[in-house]
Amino acid sequence: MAERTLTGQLGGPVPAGIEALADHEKQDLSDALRDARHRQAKALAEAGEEGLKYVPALLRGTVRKVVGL
Amino acid sequence: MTTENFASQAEILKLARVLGTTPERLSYLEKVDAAELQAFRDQVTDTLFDANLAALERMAMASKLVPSPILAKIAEKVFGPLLCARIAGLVDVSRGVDVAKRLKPPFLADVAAELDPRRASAIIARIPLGTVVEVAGELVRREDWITVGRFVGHLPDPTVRRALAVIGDEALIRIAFVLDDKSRIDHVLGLLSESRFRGLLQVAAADEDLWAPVLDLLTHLSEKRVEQWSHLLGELPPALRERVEETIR
Repeated sequence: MAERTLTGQLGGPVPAGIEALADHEKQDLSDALRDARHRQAKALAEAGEEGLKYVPALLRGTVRKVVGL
Repeated sequence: MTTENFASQAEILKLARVLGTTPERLSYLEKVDAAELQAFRDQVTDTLFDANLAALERMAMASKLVPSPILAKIAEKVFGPLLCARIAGLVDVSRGVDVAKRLKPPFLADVAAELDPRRASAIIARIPLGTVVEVAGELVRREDWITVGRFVGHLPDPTVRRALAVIGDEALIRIAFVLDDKSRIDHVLGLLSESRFRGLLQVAAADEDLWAPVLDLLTHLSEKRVEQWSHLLGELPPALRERVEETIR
């Protein structure tokens, strides 16, 4: 549920001018923030594996361990 | 359009960029006060930067093991500007600077657009002057006033002074208008020579689209600066001079 509301995602109250928006407008902001977070998490997950291909083979195991892949 | 409308529109552009969406989608925010939009944008930025903090910190730690030339290659080919911007504030400063020096200015300009300068100010302040000037030039070519404006408060004076040389008068007026920290306007304009400021006023006077932003800029000048440059303000064409007198007196 927290992911669906703006204050839930932000972890606290929003400025009064944002709070005063219509419900569907606040929902739109919440959706936009949720999408941005999901895009970021996806990009991060993909980058971890892909980035390893450029790491010299000798270091790959250690780097994998530190990154937690 | 009033100055306040312009300020809200600039904030909507900045928020849209942080959220990776279009300003048109957020047009309903025009009725919200610009200062509140800025506070909201800071909340959103913090949430996004903290969302994957643990994973980003592990990546920053792993980056210590990998030579800088390889990291620079990974940054450009795999991470892309968004992740580089997220991780920049977490890596060791000297390592971050060493990698940044190896990146091409257009890529650094992409990273700058995604970066939260509050979190990476230590690295930003140590990027070589020549690189900052190249990136500033690239951002000006893209007319990305918002990104340039977000960095002004985080760069040392000698760097700002050099960057001012590659930023044209119109660009400078537009950058000042969207500056995150408008209390810096007086200081930055104080780095300009009198003849440059005169030229800037002449450019503004010749283009009515620049009147609102230049009036906004003048309202942020200190009394001392207004006094110092009052003779230049007196040289303005009557219609603009009248507006200036109404605005700053």
